[in-house]
Amino acid sequence: MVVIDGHGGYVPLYRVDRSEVAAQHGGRGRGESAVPARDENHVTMACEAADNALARSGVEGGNLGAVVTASVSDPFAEHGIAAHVAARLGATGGVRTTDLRGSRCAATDALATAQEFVAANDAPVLVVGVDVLPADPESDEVAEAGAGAGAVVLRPEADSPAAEFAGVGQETTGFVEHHRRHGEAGETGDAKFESRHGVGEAAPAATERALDGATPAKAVAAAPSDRLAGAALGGVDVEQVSTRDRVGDAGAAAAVLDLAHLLETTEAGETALVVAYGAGGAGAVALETAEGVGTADAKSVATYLDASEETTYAKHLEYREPVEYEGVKTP
Amino acid sequence: MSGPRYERTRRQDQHLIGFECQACGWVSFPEEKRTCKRCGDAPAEMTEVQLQERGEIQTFVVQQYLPDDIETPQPVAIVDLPQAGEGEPARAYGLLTETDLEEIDVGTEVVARFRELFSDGERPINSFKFSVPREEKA
Amino acid sequence: MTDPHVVGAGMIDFGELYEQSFDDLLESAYLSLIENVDKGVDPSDIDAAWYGTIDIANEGSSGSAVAHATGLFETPITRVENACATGSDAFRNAAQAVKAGDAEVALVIGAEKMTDSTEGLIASAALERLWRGRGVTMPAYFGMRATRHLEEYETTREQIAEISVKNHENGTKYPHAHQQFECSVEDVKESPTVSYPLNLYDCCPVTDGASAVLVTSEDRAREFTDDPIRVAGYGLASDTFQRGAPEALTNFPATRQASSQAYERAGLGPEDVDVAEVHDCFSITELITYEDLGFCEEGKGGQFVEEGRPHLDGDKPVNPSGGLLSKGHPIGATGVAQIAEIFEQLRGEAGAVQVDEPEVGLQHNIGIGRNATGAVSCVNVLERP
Repeated sequence: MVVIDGHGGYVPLYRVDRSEVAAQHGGRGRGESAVPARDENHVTMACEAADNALARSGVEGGNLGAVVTASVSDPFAEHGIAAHVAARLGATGGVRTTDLRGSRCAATDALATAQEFVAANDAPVLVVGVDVLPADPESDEVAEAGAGAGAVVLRPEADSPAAEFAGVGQETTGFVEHHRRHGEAGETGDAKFESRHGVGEAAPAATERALDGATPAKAVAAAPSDRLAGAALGGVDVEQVSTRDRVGDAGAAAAVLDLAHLLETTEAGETALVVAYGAGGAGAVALETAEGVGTADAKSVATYLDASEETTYAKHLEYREPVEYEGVKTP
Repeated sequence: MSGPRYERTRRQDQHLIGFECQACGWVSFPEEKRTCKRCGDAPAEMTEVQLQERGEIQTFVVQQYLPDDIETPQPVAIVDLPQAGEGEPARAYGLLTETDLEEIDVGTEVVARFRELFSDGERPINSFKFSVPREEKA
Repeated sequence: MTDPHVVGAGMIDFGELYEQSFDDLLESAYLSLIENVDKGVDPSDIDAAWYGTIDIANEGSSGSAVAHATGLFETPITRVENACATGSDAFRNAAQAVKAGDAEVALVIGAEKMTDSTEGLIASAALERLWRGRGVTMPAYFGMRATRHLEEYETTREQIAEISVKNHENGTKYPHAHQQFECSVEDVKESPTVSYPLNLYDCCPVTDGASAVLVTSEDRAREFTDDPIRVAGYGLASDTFQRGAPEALTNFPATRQASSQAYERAGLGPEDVDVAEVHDCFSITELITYEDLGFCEEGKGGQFVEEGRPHLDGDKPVNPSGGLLSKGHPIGATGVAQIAEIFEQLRGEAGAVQVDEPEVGLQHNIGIGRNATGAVSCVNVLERP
């Protein structure tokens, strides 16, 4: 048995009203997107979410067996996130650290990898998704570039877990339409084509393997767009839990952040589904919620969503850029 | 690049660990000292202590003129960081983040926030700033 | 052992001296001294020199810079750097050497070229060190004392501003002062915020300057003047708020310690001081210093100035020269210039800012070092023999 004992999210304080971006840029403008402060980075945001998850678990940071992170926006080719989160939490020494990236499936891959590590090693694992999507004023995606982090602690068992792992599914297709270089806006192709042949072929297969016949009550889905996220849950009659209207596109982190939000707001005894669709395929995880759901012992995602401060389109762009001082780049 | 400078006290910087003088109770942070800044004991017997991730503002200013890599207005304070157990707090400079002048005063309690203080080349140097609790922004 | 005596002083007009190099400043101050010694001085009489600068212009200035400016290449010249107490500590070192009998005619010269670098001291606040004053500029360091003083005592914003008003008024009467204008309490309160709670007119300007004095043994003093001034005492001490003392949040324990050393050596107390030149890099600094030097009780600095006691016509005139707020603060020169001013006051030569027949004068600097984590204070007490 593998359970989730401890869940938590983090959303930066600042928000840009997408209608303000639309006013200067054109396009639609509903909802808001989270803007990281100038002094936040992937590691610091991941640590905020991890602190909340650990506060709700019976695990001390120093007792973690592994830290697995998922991100599609880590700016570094070499530096990583997982080891720095682990060190900050006191999980040094013989601790496995893994940085998963390259596709939004990194989120479900992280959950699957963690589940296997727990089962094989009988040791707790922290999974963190963290992303700060680049905002390029030349791109249609500029208004939706979001930021956020989510974390869960997986253990062999717990006194009062938030959920139990019921199934994990994968569908690897090699299909790529939406893709993106480091630090740049994504290139999006024909949405109808991608809905049918990308997410339409990958997500249902992964979901079916994870659910194994169970009927989910609630689900979260990470995908490059709202439309593709909807398509990822297309074949399932389920209530979708999403922070995207308030956070924007949070990349792979969206799956874990929304899962934390789901576990904070759902009832015990339900089936919950996590789906991530991205470059190369889709992944899915089915969970049975338990008595440890809720918002006790840590700041809730709802608190982060409500405790916000409006900022400008200019800051939305600027805060994601490295700081320049006297011509020297100092991110 | 100045890696050694940031590696020396990285454990203290990321875990808020202090060192208490067994002769007078003064707490050194973040340096692991062998002499005491208060009583002058040398060699001093210094015991490692855990500090809490919160601080009490002793005094503060709000900076308006700073080099471009520090955003202004920038509140900066002298904060007392209490020990997790019994004993005196450590006293240190703390930069405040996401906090306005109207939200703070002498005596205001602030929470430690893990943030990027600056970068060494491209490498972020993360440690703690302080802010009013996030929920107070609701 | 002999009592050191000041026998001459040289001073240049402080200001934005774009036309003068760092070396020019030293040369000007030296020539001013040579020309102002009552009975004259032959450069070959000078047997040692102390040079105060923090070298903010980053010219690699050392003792040899003074040799280049004066021609005293065969004379031992020591550079002193001790934050904003640099000039006064250079003087203290010279006085000590004369007292010990190791030097008989000592030159003290202080200079700072502040305007060659537009970044000045602000860039140092971007310091890439954790917990060590990142973001803490000089106005921030002193402003923190203001915040706490306002909170803890009955000090008012107007009382703090009054110090700037007083010193600017004095400055208009002192020919060497950089800023020659008067301002009101309202002007101070309405000037732009530099670092809350301090505004622009609470801060000293950025100023170039240099000054020099000559210190001799008692035996030789009358070779140079019939009216020498005795160095009665001196003190130097450091402190940091990190030691945890509550008074280090509102005041400067280093000044208390340095002044008590100086008073003890002089056999005098704060009540004996007739005129003082103290460190008013910011208005609040002078207010705190009244308390730390014992001119008034702790927490009563605001009341002290409100009652007019440190004013030119008060019973304890402080900074008749206009202080750093008006005269300017070329760091290495500041302390030496203050000694020159006390020397003039005690000799009755201070012109429009002359106070009434002073017998004892006090000079004080407080400096901030080690990335704004440490304070160092130097106090010198001079007396008519």
